[in-house]
Amino acid sequence: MQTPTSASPALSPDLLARVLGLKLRAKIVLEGALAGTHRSPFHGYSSEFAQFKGYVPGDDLRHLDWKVYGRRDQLVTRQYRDETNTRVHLLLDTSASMGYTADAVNTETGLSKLDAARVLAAALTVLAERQRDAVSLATGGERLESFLPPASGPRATSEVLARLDALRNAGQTDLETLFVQEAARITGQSFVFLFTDLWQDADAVAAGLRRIRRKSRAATVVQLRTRDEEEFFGDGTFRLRDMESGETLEIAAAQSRPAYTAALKEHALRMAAACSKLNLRLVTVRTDEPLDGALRRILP
Amino acid sequence: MFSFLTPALFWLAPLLAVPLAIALMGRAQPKTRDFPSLLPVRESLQRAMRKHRLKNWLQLILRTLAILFLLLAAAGPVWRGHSLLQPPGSAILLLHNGAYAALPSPGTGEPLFDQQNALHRQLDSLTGGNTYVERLIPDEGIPGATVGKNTENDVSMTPFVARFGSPAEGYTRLLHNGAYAARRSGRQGTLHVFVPIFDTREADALAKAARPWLEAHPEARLIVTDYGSTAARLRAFGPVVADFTKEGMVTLHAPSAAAQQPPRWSTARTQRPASVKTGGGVTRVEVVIPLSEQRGTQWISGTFTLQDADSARNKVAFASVSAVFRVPPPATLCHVGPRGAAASLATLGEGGQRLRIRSLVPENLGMTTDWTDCKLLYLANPPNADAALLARAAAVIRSGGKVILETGPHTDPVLWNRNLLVPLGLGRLTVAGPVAASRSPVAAYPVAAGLATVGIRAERWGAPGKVTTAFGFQPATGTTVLLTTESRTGDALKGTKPLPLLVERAVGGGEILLWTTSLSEPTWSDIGLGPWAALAHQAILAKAWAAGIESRSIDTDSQLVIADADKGEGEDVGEGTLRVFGPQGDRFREMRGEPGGWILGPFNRQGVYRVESAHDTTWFAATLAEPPPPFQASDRVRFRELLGETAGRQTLLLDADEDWRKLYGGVRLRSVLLGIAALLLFAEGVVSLRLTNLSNLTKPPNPSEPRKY
Repeated sequence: MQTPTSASPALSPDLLARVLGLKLRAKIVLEGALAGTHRSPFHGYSSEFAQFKGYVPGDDLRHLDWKVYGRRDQLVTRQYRDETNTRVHLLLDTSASMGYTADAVNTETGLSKLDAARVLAAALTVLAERQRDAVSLATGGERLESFLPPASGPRATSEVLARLDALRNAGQTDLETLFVQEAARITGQSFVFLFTDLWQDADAVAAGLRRIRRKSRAATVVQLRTRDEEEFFGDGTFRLRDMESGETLEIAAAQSRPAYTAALKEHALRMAAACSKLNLRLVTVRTDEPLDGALRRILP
Repeated sequence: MFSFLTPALFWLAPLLAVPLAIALMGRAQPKTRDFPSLLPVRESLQRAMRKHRLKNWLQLILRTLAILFLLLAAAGPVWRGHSLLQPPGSAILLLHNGAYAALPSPGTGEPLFDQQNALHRQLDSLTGGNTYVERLIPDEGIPGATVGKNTENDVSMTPFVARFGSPAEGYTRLLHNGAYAARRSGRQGTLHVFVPIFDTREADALAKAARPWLEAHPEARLIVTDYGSTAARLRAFGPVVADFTKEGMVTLHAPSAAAQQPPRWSTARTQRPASVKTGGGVTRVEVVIPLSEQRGTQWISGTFTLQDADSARNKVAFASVSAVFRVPPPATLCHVGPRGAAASLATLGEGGQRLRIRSLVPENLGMTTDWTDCKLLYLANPPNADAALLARAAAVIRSGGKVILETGPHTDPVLWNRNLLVPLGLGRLTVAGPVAASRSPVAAYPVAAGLATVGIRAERWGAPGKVTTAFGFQPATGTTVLLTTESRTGDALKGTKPLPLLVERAVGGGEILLWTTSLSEPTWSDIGLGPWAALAHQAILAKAWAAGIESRSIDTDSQLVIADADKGEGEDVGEGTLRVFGPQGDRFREMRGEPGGWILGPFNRQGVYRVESAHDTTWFAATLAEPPPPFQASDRVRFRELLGETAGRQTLLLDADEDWRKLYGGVRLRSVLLGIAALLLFAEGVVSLRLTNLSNLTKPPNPSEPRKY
């Protein structure tokens, strides 16, 4: 039996890459992520009472039933059944940079960042369907290119999954514009998941995130990274071509690695600072890590 | 100005391109890889790459420079900025290679010959574009040039001083003949003439001779080395520096009155002369130097004359000094030597005295000689001492004269005993045989030690004072043994069983002295440094002095007046009048008639001159003139004045202390360049190491390595 915290070989990116159906992929990831955990991560304000449950350390004290405690001197918590008034907004960055696949020599089995985001978004969609939550899907690079309003039910889920499956990466990145346009479409108490590689200036990204944060109950920024992006390349001299601008830059990997690592670290720190300031969760997911584990970190 | 000792190595200059070639070959076409976005990291990457490229260039430059400096070092660069002379390019060097070449240089202590060698090495080290032809100009006119890889020796130079006597004439010949000979041989290049000067006479003569020559040869250079200080030292030491001296430089003539007396000798051991000193602060050591017969010289003493007997090997040999002693008529001091040299006795005890010796060489023994003239006869181991000669010696003694007999390899003891020694009551020679001699340390002799203190290397002559072979002698009653040998060691004046070496006996008004060993045969007695010289001279001169013997010698640069009352003014030299023959028997014609006599000289050759007139035949000796004062620093001004402005600019006057290596030489930079190359390689290593370290600090990911999350 797989433990929740251990990486499952069955859910390795390579395996997922060979699984064709997005829905199936999403379910595999979802099942792996939810194994042994509470099945309802999304809790709204107006949840319907379902049952009492004996208190165990770690339960939210807000759900303690003090009346029962007063009457019976027992600690019990109240459990609710979620209602469908929770909306999950999924925003996927589909700029060209999201199409980058780590280990370029093995692109047949590797997941691109967009692939990973697609699977994770699909898993969240399936999870939302199970909880009868509405799911909204927005995609775009420089601007919001498509938007599915929040809807629930199998049809809506199928539509979202179909859209996810049909996504293609292209164009440049303008996260500020993208987030602003997305924020304008967020209504009600929403959980927002932003899938992007955050390859943009931190200040611009922060401006967009600020708008998202205002409109959402909780927002999670899922930063997709590949191994190459984090560890840079091996030895050798390469001419790097920016996938969005086409700009090239010749580098000696070994000699440039320290500078790259430093710049990347600074960028990550600035992003983390921006998210922290906005009380946003920033989860970094590497495309070569097991996605069920990544999904567990993504879920609130 | 730089030059290189091995410029041919610059053919390896293409090696400089090796680092660049390696860099270019190692520079593969970079593979293009997509990257999500360069925007956030572009600036850092660009900065890192600029730094990386800079390091690469630095590495390339360091490597190239290292190879460049290695090449330069291998090529042997020489900085000649401090050279006194510009590299000659193509030069013809004329070096006066007289006996002075063996002189010790006052400043460096190196003989001038070493300086010449240094010059040769320096010339050898010149770049390939510099070639030189060297002409050594020995005093004796021995052609020879043995040094220099670029040296060619195909010109026979005209002899210098020995042939021309006068320094001015010699310098003129040196300059003109040297230049002419060099040009005649087809050699092209600048003439560089190296001439040493030791005294003002030479300086004056050189300046006068060089001035017109230099003005006629504006490209030529005259390099004059002033050895005046050496001359001063030589003057102070006098004959002590017999090892290294120069013709005309050495004098035995002490100026004090004490020097006029011959050294005294005593048989008392305590008074045995450790050295011979004269007053006036001049140390005079009487040295008899027996030279081998193969070198064609006899033993000499007194005034030294040096000749370059072997200039090619820079060996300085001593030739015999001619001196004529004249005993007032009818007395004559006669000398019969063992071989056919002209004469061979010293001129000790001069100082204005005019002593004469009639030299009777074996070949001349048969000539008509009035033996009664001989008040002092010295038979120096004559090879053909027959009964007649010994009878003549006995006649000299009986007539009140003195006879000195020196035995040797030619001596027939039976003949001598029968015809001379026994009849005169002197004693009896016995069979000659080697004296049992083990060893005689040089230092045991105070004389040798004394000489060593003033620079004479006593060990050069083996065991001075050693008597190896001597006749035995049985002295008769009344015979005084003046000198004996020690029987065990063979050392003179030692031991309890003495073997008589020098005995003396008065016979009537006359006197006889007998040496039982040879003074001129080194295999018999090496008397080079012992007290023998003084004894020998004393034996002769004490008697000659007592007899009022008069020396008749003249300096070579002087004129001799021979009185002739019948001589009219302007009378030509012709047959039947005065005839003068030089030391080698050739006719001497530097003479002219004056009222009342003849004026002979100056003389271009030292030696004994024979003067034949209608009435008499006489001899005189021409010896080298007293050297003039040494060239002093104050004389430089005069030297320059004599040279004039034009020739002065072409003349380089060096101090004796100045190192000839500075003439053309410069600072050799090979070590410096090697050091720089090493530093460059070290720096290159540091840069490379730093680049490597940077790579190691950021290890590239290993795609095959499993990731743990």
